Order: sequence, then structure tokens, then C-alpha cells
Amino acid sequence: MARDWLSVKKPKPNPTSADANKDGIVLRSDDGRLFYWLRATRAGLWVQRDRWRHDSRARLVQSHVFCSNAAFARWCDADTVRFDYPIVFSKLQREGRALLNGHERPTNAAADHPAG
Amino acid sequence: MAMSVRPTLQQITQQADFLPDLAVIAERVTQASDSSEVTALLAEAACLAGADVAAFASFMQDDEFYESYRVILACDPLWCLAYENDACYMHDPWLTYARHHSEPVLAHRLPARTNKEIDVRALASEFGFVSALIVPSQAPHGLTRLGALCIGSREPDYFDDPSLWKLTFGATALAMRLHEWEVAQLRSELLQTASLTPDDLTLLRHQLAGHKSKEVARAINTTAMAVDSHWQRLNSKLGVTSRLAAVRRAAEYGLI
Repeated sequence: MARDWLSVKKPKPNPTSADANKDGIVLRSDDGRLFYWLRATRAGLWVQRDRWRHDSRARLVQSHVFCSNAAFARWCDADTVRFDYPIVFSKLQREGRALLNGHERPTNAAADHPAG
Repeated sequence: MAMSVRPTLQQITQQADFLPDLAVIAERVTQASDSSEVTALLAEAACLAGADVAAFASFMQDDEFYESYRVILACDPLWCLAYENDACYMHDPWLTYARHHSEPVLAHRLPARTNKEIDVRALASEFGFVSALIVPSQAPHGLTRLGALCIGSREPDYFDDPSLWKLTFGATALAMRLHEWEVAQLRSELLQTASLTPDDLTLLRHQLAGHKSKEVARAINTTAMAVDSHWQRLNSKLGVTSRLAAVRRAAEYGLI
């Protein structure tokens, strides 16, 4: 169980349609103190959370790859900023789920629904 | 049904391919195109070392007002949320060690001097870093930028083994590559966000060399007033209030 965090899938040799959206989705709060950057990658849903805290004059940028909707939902539920930034947070959950759902589709699904 | 026995660090490092495989992972970090690939490589390295979790943390004095901490997580990401909520970066004994030392160290050898440091250590332990190897990676020329690779195990004495030197040898190379990769990302990020031009970089290099406006003007065949005017625009682009701060920022981000 402990090694679940090390089970990030190795990138597949063939790029998928998800790679086309290299820059991903950026969500930001109105006050500019919270940013999320989401991107579907070959390994899963990559999320970078960037938070500026004026009280401790610090900025903490954390990045992680989520391989499942359950892991992403658990992380979202644990983040206390959801009370301070409900709109950004709601978008984060929606966009994250959508990218993960796209990622978890069978590989041949991309061929059924070509990008563009 | 036989229970699988987890290999010891000694058994893992005795394998002939251990160090070559770790070296290959370190080399692949330099070619990684994005953070997701680096996360996967970090996880792969920890797995190769028989560890349970890993993280690469970097620190930098962003400007006059902010310090920034960046963490790539191959572990339970809830750790970092709790770490941020409690502002653990202000009391992290591992980070404090990495600020002043370049030698890898076992986390349990680092004293926690205050209650807050004890709490930070307990939090790490709760999220899988019961025992840990800390591998610092520092920037040259006295910059504030630094990195720390943390490889953790749920077993309290996993790393207490005479063969640890093999892991520290490979992990040092990996920490350096991770740090270089991070700096390359920061450089690219700053170039993009500040829209810096080659002329801007020339000006920053002159300032780094201690040249005054008149000297710079002579060197680039313009007037001192034009140089001063260019500096105003450049400071604005970088979001700083002085030439010294601009040079500091550019150096921290690996631009000059």
C-alpha cells in the first residue's frame, strides 16, 4: 500500500492526444494568490498548485501526478483553500475530473474521437 | 502461500545494475520535458532504491519580499498540503540542513531543536518518511537557491546499512540533475513571463560585472540616458525596484 505513491505510470512511448494540449489549463484566484496548472499527461493528471502566502511571505509550489479520480478527489477534499476560494476550487475539481476521465479512456478511444 | 519478504538496502545495492540504473534515471531527468516526467523518474528512483516515498524540494529567495519553495512529490500529496498549512518551511530541520551542508545525511541524525521542528519531523514520518536520506544540492556563487532530495522509507532503520554509500553516491547525482532541471524550468519561466530580450540580458551582465551606465553606454554604443531608461523598463519587467535586485533575480533564476 505504501508504494502506491511510487506507481506513477511510465510515459508510453507513443504520444496520445492528451499531449497535444501541452500547456494545459491555468486557474487563478482574483487576488492572484492561488494558481493551479493542470495538464493531462501520459502518466496521469499533472497538477501544479502555486500559493502565495502574505502572512509568512512565502510562495509554495507543489506538483504531483494523479493516476486516478479517487486520489485526485481525496487531495481536493483535504485542501483547506477550498473554503477561501470556492469558485477556483470548483473549477479545479471539474477540470481535473474531465482531464482524468479523458486520460483513463482506453487508448483506442482517441482514434474514435480525433482531436481538432 | 509464502509471504514476500522485502529486500534490504544491502540486497538492493548489491545488484550489479543498481548504480548504472540510477545513473540512467539521473540522466533522463535532464531530458524530461515536463514536471510529470520528472515526478515519474523520481518515483522510479525511489522504487529502485527500495524506498517508499520521495520528494525533491527546492528553495529560493524570489525577491526582496518573497521566499519560494517548490516541491515535486512522489509521495502522498496530502503531506505537502499539511506542510503548507502549518508553514512547516519556516521550521524544517531538513531544509535548514540543506542550507548549510552539501553532504547527504540520514534524517534521524539531524537534531530537532524546537517543538515546531519536532512537529515537522513527525508530519514527514506520518506520510511515509519514517526514516529518510536527505541529499542537498546547492547553487554556486553564494546564491540562495538550493535543493534537497528526500528519499524515505516506512521502516525506521532501512537506510542504516553499510551499503548506504552506494545509494548516497547515486542519489547525489540524481539530486544535482533534479536541481539543474528545476533551474532550467525557472529560467524558461522567467524569460517567458518577463519577455526578456537579448539586450536585457546584456544589460544584466554588465551590471553583474559592476559597470556603470556610462561604461555600458560606451560598450554598446549608446548614451547613458538611454541605458538608464532601459534599466527602468527592465526593472519593471522583472518586478523589482533596483538594478541590484534585478541582477540578483536573474542570477537566482540562472539567467546570468
